Amino acid sequence: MRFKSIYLREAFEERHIEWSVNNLIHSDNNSKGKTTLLRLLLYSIGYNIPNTHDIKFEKCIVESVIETDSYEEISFKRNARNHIFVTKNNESQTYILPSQECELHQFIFGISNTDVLDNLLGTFYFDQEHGWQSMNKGIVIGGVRFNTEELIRGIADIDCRKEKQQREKLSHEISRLQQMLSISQYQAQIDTETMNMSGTSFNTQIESQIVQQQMSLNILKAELIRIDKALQANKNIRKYIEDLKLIVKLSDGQEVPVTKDNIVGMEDTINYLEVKRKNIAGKYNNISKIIENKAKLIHREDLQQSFFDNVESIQDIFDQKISQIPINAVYVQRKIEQLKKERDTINERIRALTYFDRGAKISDSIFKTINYILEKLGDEPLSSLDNIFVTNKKELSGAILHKRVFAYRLACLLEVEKKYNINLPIILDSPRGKEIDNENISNMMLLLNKEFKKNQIIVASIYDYNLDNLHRVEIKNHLIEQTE
Amino acid sequence: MSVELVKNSEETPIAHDRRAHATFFGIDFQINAAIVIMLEHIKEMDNIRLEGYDDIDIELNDRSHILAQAKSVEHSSTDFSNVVANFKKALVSLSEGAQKCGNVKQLIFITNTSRPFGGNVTRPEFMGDAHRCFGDLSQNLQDVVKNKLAQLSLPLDTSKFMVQILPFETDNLQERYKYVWSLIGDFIAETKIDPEIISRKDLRNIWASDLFKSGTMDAFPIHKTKKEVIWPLIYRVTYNIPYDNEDLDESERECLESEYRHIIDECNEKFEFVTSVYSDYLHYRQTHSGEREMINAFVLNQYSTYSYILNNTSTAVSDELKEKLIRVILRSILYKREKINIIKREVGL
Repeated sequence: MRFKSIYLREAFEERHIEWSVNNLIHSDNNSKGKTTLLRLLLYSIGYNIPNTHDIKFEKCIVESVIETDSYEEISFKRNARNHIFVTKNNESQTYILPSQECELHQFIFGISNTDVLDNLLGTFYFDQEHGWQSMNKGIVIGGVRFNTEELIRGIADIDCRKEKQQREKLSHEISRLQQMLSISQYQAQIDTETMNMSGTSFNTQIESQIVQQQMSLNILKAELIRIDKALQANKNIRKYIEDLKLIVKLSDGQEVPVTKDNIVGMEDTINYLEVKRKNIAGKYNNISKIIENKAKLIHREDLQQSFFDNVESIQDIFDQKISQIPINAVYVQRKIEQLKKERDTINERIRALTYFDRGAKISDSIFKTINYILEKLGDEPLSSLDNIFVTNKKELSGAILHKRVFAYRLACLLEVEKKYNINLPIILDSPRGKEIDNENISNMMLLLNKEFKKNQIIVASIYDYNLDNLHRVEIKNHLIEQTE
Repeated sequence: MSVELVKNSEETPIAHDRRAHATFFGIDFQINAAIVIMLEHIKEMDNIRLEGYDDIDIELNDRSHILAQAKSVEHSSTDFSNVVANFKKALVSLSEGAQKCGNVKQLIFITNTSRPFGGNVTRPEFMGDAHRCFGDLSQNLQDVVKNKLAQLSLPLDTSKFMVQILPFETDNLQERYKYVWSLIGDFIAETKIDPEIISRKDLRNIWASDLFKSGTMDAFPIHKTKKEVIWPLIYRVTYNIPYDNEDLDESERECLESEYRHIIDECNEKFEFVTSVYSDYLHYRQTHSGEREMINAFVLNQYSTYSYILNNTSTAVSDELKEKLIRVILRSILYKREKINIIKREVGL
């Protein structure tokens, strides 16, 4: 796939840009709109890309035309974040974004695997902020992330949906529990402040105690209802069996009628439930009395304070309500740890699936390609396969990290292209990082010229680059001003 | 008896008011004497009541009664001033109780003094705890009893009379209750109750509290049946779930207790399920007679048969934990059954 053109319109300003195979978006100075143009390019084909300082994307009309690998044209028109119009062979369709983003990209790239689609942008787009930092996993741009392991599973058609669903569920639970924990910490803070301040009224404290007791009461009430049902069910069975008037013959030949007294365990089950009911009813009554007495205390204080206007702020009311939520912080913490362990186990299972059989072949192929590219860039090869996925970025110098990221991403890109028999564009925002010298940049461009001839290259930079048949897109003062 | 003052004290009804002290001591003795006599006759007992036909009134399964008159002396090892008066009152009360009741099996004069019939010398047969029927008394003492009874219009039948000593002295509860605790300890051992679940001290407190409430009832007769005395104990003993036999880490155990306890309880309280498990277990026991730790063997070999009980349970729990949950449920049912059987057998319920 390659981009053919893009049309931009913001208010009364507009610009049309044609794309060639190798392109350089150039301006003499920084902050003229190069990055904005690259982002608009991706925005125009449905990606959820954040704005730059210059332009609010949702206020623009952006139209792109692309050519697929089968030489078919698809045009896109986007004038809002939540939908996009797509036209192919004079047939138009609207995609709702982001819910149909996957479907749209399946249509564009001919890839149906969601693991691949979710990580595709990371293989061909190098953002100036994050693009040269993340190797095996990290942010591509905005909320779009890249994860090599996920990509490998996608390419190898390894199905981890069940595990991912479980992980998602656990993560959701952990997130909820962490919120609970935050609330309990806030409660502790409120408690501490309450101890130090005379602001919280006596009534508020008593009301809080009543709410807690009421919750205990509700639990006991539910238990009483459950016991009553169980008791009734057991008594019904007892009556049913008695009504059958069964007679059993003992081993000595004696015939004995079956009654409630000689059914083993029947009366015991009922007796047990009756005692349990009595026990819980006793607790229920005790708590009811406590609530009743506390309510009387509130009434007394109401009478005493009737002279005062006790107007509480919204924050006070919020604090009171929060304080009334019973949370056992210790239990919540333990539960979080337990769920995290479960999640780790699932992650391990997913990792194991990634490097088994087909996944192993893909990762091995990526490893070889990375080393091939690193060699071309004049860099040390990776020593083992593990280095693809376990990387301590801090150990790497700026230039080495830059080149490794380049190698990683392009190796992944080649693997996707090989699997789906497609060609993807390569979009580089400011490839000359702070510590990249001319020799390194020359090697990178030489690699692109030689090894990625079938890929469309789009580079944004204030420098010039030695790419074959380079098509320059100049930005003078502002991106959207017609110059062509 | 001044009931209100002692109502809230579960441990012992001792007040700080010295004037009331003797009264409370007397009540405490009566309650503990009732526990002792109840335990000594638990198998044949049908019900018990304080302040029935006498201070302590135990009705037996054959509808006959054991009546006991409890007379205590606060400083029993040094103060013998009231013992003779107490003895006389006891004979009168027991004689009257026997008349009113009409079907008496035994008449007990229970006291804490080592000189139950007075006199100047402490007799060795009344040191410590003692149970002396009329026939077991020395001729001299028999004569003392006969002389006192001769003064009554309707004297009790001496063949049913017994004097019982319950050591019970001082404000130090360790000392005061040591004999009662010892007896309850024997009961706990015989019924194979785990003392960690309920200690002899706890059990004394529970029964004392129960019997004291019974003794304060105005309407007569109000009986505390054996079932009413024993079932709260069974409930308490079988309430905890036997997690220990399962290989559970702390978080799993908490998970089962907090989130699945209701399922464990439901399975334990549903007769069809309980009887199904117990029946399968009995059959297993018959066919695997050589195995040790039969319940454990049954649970480990048969638990998969019962996986249907968790069909409607949330899938959030792992398969491994589900299996553990089923085993916990089966063990709780069978251990409960075993404990109920032992206690019922030991108390004749």
